[in-house]
Amino acid sequence: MGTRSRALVISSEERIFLDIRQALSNSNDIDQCEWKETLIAGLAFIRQSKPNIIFLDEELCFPDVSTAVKEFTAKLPETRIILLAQMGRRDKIDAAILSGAVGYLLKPLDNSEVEATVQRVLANFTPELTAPMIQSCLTQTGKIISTFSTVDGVGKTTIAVNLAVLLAKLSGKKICLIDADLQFGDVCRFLHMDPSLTIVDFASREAVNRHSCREYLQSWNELIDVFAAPPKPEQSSLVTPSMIVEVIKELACEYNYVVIDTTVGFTDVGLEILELSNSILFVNTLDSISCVKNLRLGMDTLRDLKYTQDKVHLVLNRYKAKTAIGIAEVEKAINSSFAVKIGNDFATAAGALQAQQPMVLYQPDRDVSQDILTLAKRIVENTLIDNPKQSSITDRLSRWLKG
Amino acid sequence: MLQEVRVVIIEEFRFMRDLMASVVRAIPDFNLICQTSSLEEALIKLSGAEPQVVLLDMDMPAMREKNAITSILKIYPSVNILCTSQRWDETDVRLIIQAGAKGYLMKPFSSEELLQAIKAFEGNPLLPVSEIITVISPKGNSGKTTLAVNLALGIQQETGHKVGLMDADLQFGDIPVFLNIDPTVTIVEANRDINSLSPSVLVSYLTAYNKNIKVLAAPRSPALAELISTSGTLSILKYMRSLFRYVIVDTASGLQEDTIAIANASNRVYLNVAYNSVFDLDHLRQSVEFLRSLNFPQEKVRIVLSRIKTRGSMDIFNRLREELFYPISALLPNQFQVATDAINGGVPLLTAKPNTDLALGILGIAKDMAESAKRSAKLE
Repeated sequence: MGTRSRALVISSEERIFLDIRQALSNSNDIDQCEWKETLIAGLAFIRQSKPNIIFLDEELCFPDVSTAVKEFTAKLPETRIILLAQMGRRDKIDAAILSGAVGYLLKPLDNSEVEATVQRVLANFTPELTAPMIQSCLTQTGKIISTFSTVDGVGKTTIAVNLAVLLAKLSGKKICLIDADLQFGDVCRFLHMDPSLTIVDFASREAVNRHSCREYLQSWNELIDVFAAPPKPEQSSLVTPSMIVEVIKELACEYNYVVIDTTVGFTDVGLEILELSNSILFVNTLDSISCVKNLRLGMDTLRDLKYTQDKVHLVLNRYKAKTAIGIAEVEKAINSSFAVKIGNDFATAAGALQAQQPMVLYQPDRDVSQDILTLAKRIVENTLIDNPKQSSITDRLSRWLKG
Repeated sequence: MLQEVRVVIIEEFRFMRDLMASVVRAIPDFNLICQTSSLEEALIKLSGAEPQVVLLDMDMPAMREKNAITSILKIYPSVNILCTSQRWDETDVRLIIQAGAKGYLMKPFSSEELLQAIKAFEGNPLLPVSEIITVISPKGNSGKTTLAVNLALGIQQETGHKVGLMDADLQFGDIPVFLNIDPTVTIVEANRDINSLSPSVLVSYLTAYNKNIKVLAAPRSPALAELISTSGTLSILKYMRSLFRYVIVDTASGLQEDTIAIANASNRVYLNVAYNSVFDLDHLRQSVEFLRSLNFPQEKVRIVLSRIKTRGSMDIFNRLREELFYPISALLPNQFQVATDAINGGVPLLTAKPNTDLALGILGIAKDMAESAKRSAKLE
């Protein structure tokens, strides 16, 4: 067993210090955690004590993040600096990393992230690797979930929107929702948003003045951040496959879950999204033979793309609808079973639209909302691959969702 | 059964002439009565021979200058003239057909292709005037394919003309499901052979629904759709147009580049939007603005609102009529079950349930279309 490390938190907020100390209390790597309220006090402290890790709150950095980080690394080259940043301040994070910080955490802090970041930093850090560290910071940590379909009108967008909302409620984490149905995307219509910025604004930004795409996201009720589709169908071509890759990769670094609604069928942009997705929710209904035919064509193509069963999840929407087609027959024909089943409830869907709310918030107790909740839980718990748990959701959870 | 077919070859180049002669001789019951490079010589030699087929080299400038087709037809009004050429040119074809030729064949050709060309003009003469009618939709599940398929039936029924149905929903074309046909060849093969195709040969790439309606099917899988470029689709569409008085095209949902290109090449575009929710009206408005920005003329585009649930919303439609640039041609009711049953039964609505409001609504569009086509044909 190696020597244990000491941590220093430099932040004006005691709560942040307490959070970090709490998060590290179980750690075998850290045996001591100190707190200083100002940058000067922090710099004074490191003269006598030599902390191995410094959590540096971006708000205290003076005159700027870059100078402050360099000040610490110059005095104590072997120490590892983790920046505590506000969400959306990618500029500060980049400046810190370029000046020698080895990682960052977004406020408000998440216990498990603090622990994971510290572990990673202690395990991996070598000073020469600062440049690759920038890359590793930019590698995705968020889960990418896309909704896909081969037929319109099967509930793809409904599921994407309600799922994103529930993921935010359930996990309390950062969720973004990208409307990549680029010609006639409906995400903002479902959420009754009138976004001032869309993906088109990002696409047509001046290259010399490259902004992070995060600045083009719009918050919905401070619950999820939405990247809106172009307002005009002809603008869809401005969003290229390589651009969507860039966007998704960046957002997956920032958000815990990136939910993406796609255009029906296989488009150039759509294929990139499917490729990057951790989970593809392939949404279907069994209204007619042509639906089943297109389900089969979609499955065959996804198999040809070598996407495995733990990536593609068949969703059967409106599974209680009376159709001439039996679920079992279809499952046998496509040699796959529906991993997720969602009930049909036009009344709730219509009421939610009227009430200008997502269905799962408008009537969380209805079967259809509960089915999407089950889906969201399985995503959070990482059990989408396994058979669906039939356990009913507790009353407590329903009450909490209503509140 | 073919009787003896007497054939004349007029071809400038010796080598090609010999090649054609051997192709003609190889066909049983075909009798080559003359091969020459001169129109005058042919006309002289033909006297009393009563040829049925003349293969005429359209690459020879002399043939154009002397109005060869007209000259031949003046003497032998019932002869079938097949023009031959090294390259396919749509304008040429129209002029040739207008002058009275029956078909167009790319050189060199096989015995089989020649036979097919002759068969094609026997039952299916190439047409100087034709209408391409395309159905587009910003979002699927609006009944677009139901509309396209039943328009084909309706127009056939109303006009008595043969109708071609082209499935340009390249990834997920549903026409075979709707018509319960099982195409063995598709647009993929037609596209592959595009450079050696002539319109009469395209017939062999079509699948018959019945005697009067033929389908060019979409690829069998989405991956194959990639093989077909927009320009390929447009060339095939031109061939279709020279085979049928009416060509109906079903497209993929969305207004992607290839769909817009097809719409652009069409005489009539039906913009089909479901009227289920306020979202749909947004899609409709966006689509109208898009088409306007592309300068689609007012007389070309018609709006078809489908899946309408409430009869009492006439106010909305009256307001829409004023607001939207393009005329609304029909309001189709939401008879989802009726439409679905027709799909599952593989019998189109106009045949299976001709008296439903939905079927009658679509038939109404077909009647209007047939009327306006008749009017414009008269004008020409």
